[in-house]
Formats: sequence, C-alpha cells, structure tokens
Amino acid sequence: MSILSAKNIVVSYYGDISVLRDVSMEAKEGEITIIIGPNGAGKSTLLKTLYGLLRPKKGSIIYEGKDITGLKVHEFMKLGLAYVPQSRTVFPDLTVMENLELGSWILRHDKKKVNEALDYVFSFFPILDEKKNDKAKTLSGGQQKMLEVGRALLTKPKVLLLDEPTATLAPMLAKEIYSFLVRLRDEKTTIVLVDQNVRQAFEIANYIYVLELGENSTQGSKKEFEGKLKEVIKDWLNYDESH
Amino acid sequence: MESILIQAIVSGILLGLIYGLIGMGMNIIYGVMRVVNFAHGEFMMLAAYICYWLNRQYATNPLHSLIIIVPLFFGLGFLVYYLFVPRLLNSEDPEMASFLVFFGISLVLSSLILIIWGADPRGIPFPFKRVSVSIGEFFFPLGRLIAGGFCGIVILLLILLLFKTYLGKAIRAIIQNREAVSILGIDTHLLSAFSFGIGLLLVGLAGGLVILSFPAITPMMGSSYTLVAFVVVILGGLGTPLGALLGGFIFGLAENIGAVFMPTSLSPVIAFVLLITMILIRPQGILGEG
Ligand SMILES: Nc1ncnc2c1ncn2[C@@H]1O[C@H](COP(=O)(O)OP(=O)(O)O)[C@@H](O)[C@H]1O
Ligand SMILES: [Mg+2]
Repeated sequence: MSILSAKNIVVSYYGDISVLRDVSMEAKEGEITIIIGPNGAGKSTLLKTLYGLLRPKKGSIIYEGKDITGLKVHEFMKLGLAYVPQSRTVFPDLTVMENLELGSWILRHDKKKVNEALDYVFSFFPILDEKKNDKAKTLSGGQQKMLEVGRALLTKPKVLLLDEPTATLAPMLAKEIYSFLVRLRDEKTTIVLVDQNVRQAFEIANYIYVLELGENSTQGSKKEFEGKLKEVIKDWLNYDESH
Repeated sequence: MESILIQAIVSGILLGLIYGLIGMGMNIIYGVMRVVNFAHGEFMMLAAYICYWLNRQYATNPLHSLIIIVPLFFGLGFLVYYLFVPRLLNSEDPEMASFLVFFGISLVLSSLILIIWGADPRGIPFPFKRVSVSIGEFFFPLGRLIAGGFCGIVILLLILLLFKTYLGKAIRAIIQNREAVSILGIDTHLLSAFSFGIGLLLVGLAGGLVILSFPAITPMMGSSYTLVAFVVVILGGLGTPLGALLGGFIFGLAENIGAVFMPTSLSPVIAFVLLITMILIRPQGILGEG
C-alpha cells in the first residue's frame, strides 16, 4: 500500500523555470524506494517537496491518503515523517546530546518518551552515546552523518526521507549505513532514499525510480531492473563504474 | 591612585553587566534572524521613559516597574517581529531592508519620546535611602550596585534558559542553522518571535536599570546605547550571546578605567577606538567564528 506519494508535481525555485516537470512517485509501506538519476536531475528537489520545504506549483503530495500539499515544514514531523537533507545539518556548537534533544522536540513534554527514543537511537549508533557530551563539530564526517540520521529517528518516523546519506563517507561507513537502513526496514519503517551510489542503493531497494532532467524516466521493482540497471545508467554523464 | 583604580574596576564590571545585557539582546536578535536592530538603544530609552513616567504618576520604584516592562517588551518583540521581520527575510536584500526598517523605527521612537516628554533631561528622585555604600575605604554608588546585581541575576537566568531548556537549545540551534531547525518540527517563526521578545525584554530591563544608574535620561540617549550595543556585539562576536557578555565587560572596564586617565569628554572616543581596533585585528570578535 502506498504511504507517501507525489502526483504530477511541477516545482520551480523561481520564475518560470521548472526543475520538476510533472513528476510522480510513490513509496509503499515498509519498502525502500530509491530515486536515482544524474546530477541536477531534480532528486533533491523532489525530496524537499515531499517534506514541504518547497511547494509544488501543480500537483499534490499525498500521505496516508490525505492531501498534505502546502502544509508547513514544521508540521511534517508530527505527521510521522522525517528528513535527512543532503547538506550538513548538525548544529556544530551544540553537543551531540543537545542535537539529539532537538530531534525529540515534538516529544519534549514527555520525558519518558524522550529517554526511550534516545535509547532507541543509541542502539543503532552506540558511538553517539559514547560521544554525547562532545560538541558535534568534533565528530568525524561519518559520525556527523550518523548524528543527523539518529536525530531524524527519535520520533520513530513511519517514513524516513534520506538524501545521499553516504555521499561523503568512506566505503566501510557507507556499508554500515546501508545495513542500518535494511534493519530499519525490517522494523517496518518506510524509506525513500536518493543516492548516487547506485549499485549499493540498488542492492537494498524494493522499488526504483529514475529521474532525468526533471522528469520521470524509468521505474520498476528490483526484479524488473535486474540486469538492465547498467543500460539505464549508461548514458548518465559523470557516471563512474567505480561508484 | 590605587583606590581610584579599584573603584573604576568595580564600576566597570557593574556597567559591563548592563552593557552585556544590552548586547546579549542585540545578539540574540541578530543571531536568530540575521536582522540588525538599529533601534536597540531607542527601545531601551523607551523602557527608561516608561519607568520615569510610572514614577511620576504613581511614585513607582523603577525596580517594581520592571514587572510591567518585562511582559510589555516581550509582547512588543512579538509584535515587531510579526509586523516586519518575515517580510524582511523574504526581501531580496534582507540586511539592507532591515537597516532601513529599524533605522526608521529608531527615528519614530525618538520623535515620539521628544513629543511626549520634551527635550529636557528627565530624572527621578533616588528611590533608596542611601546614595552609596562604603566598603572599607571604598565608596560605591548604590544605584549601580543594584542595577549591576540585577543584571547579573538576569544574565544568569538567560544562560540557564539558553543552556538548560529545550527552548534555549532551539535558540542556539537556529542561530547555527535555520533550515535544520524547521525540519525537526520546530516552528521557526514562533521561535524567532520568541527570540525577538527575549531581545527586547533584555534591553527593556536595561532601560529600567539605567535610570537607576545615571541621573538623567534624554530623548537623544537612544543612539548612544545603540552604539554601545554595536561595540559590545562586535567585541564579543556577532551572533554569539555569550560573546556579548564578554564584550560588555571589556567595554565597561575600558570606559571606567579610561575615565581615570583621560578627561570625561574623551570617553565616547573609547567606544570607537575599541570598535576599530577589534575590526582591524579580529573582525569576527573574540568568541565569533571566522
Ligand atoms: N536552491 C536552488 N535555487 C535554484 N535552483 C536550484 C536550487 N537547488 C537546485 N537547483 C537547480 O535545480 C536542478 C535540480 O537540482 P537538484 O534537485 O539538487 O538535483 P539532484 O539532487 O538530482 O542533483 C538543478 O538544475 C539545480 O541547479
Ligand atoms: Mg541532490
């Protein structure tokens, strides 16, 4: 069953230039849906629109059967969504713990829930527990990414949107993130993942969308993509076999 | 000589606490919204005149007037935020636009006070039985001791707010990354309005306390306190609330120690010397990040 979907959305940053032109996608409950495509295709724009940071000029965003187009950004977490952007979003001068506390903002009046949420996140990323009193800026790049992901998990979101979470990570750390995502799916979290590490993302995917130049190009289940993945990505500029 | 110097240091610290309070308000507003409140000193002056007026009408002790000033200025902060700031943030050049708007507000406030209370300096009868207290061979003006002590308590409460509460942590977080705060489910407009409220509340408190520390207030004093806020903020680091406290101490001490060695007429020069020196050697301020 579809839990989150975009229906024929048109999005632009300013003026008449549309970055997304009539794009549709849906994420099925409990699955990992990946969105891939060359640089500048509009993948990040799509995630931002799904999370309310951009408002589509046309089309709609549907979550659990309700039209949530145009809802304010800060409402999304309460609905059960969470989003980890491509850019760095840790608060560098706050401690790891303070960063996490802000991730539990909507639970703040329930101390017990906050503590449970922290334990939940520490179970995924024990390193955050070890470093909880350190300033976030002292963490390595990989640890900061874990902090961002952990911070998005505190509310136990039903749908987690991630934008290139492994882009700047060493291969070992990237692997850790992918196995974490699989574990999260096993716990019934729906995941929408934008990724440039196409092969690794494909490994864990249930369903694949390919975006090109702001439009849907191809899509299909993992099975349907098996074997033709290479063909699909062959023409992308900048694509590097070693990825 | 030595005792004069010690007295100057104590006065400097007391004044520094007031300056710190003024600067912390300015820095929270700037840090959260990237809006420079050019009317900061005028808001302070408004608070001072309200305390003056309450004293004339009801013989209120300025310390008691603060009970009214605090909610009034907190609410004023919300009002000013929602009237102006979201529009400024949407404009093409928010910093220039905010300069114009807040410069305008400063003119309006000064003129308003001039119209209501006239250009003559105003003061209130000193509300305490003694003017100064002596400790050993030293004499300290009681008004400044009380004002400084009060500022110290408020600053302590502010630090507790910023470092121990969810709200304060959110304020420190939004200073560092506005968008990241909104995706965590925090209403950035409400948080900004709250921060503006805190900023004006702090400078409002300072206005009430200034009337205790100095004999007279005039409709011209606003801009000199805006300058104080600037110097303090630039010394400590733009957008870092604790930096402003440090900047306040440095400025307060420099002014008072300077007065021991230089004619009083030269004391405004100290502000500019500090300002220019800091901009030359460390433009991001002592606690600011380059
Ligand atoms: N903040 C922005 N303002 C204007 N244009 C933008 C902005 N962000 C992205 N774009 C443009 O939108 C297009 C899609 O960008 P993006 O969604 O980031 O692509 P992807 O994530 O697939 O690399 C690009 O042409 C990019 O230049
Ligand atoms: Mg992108």
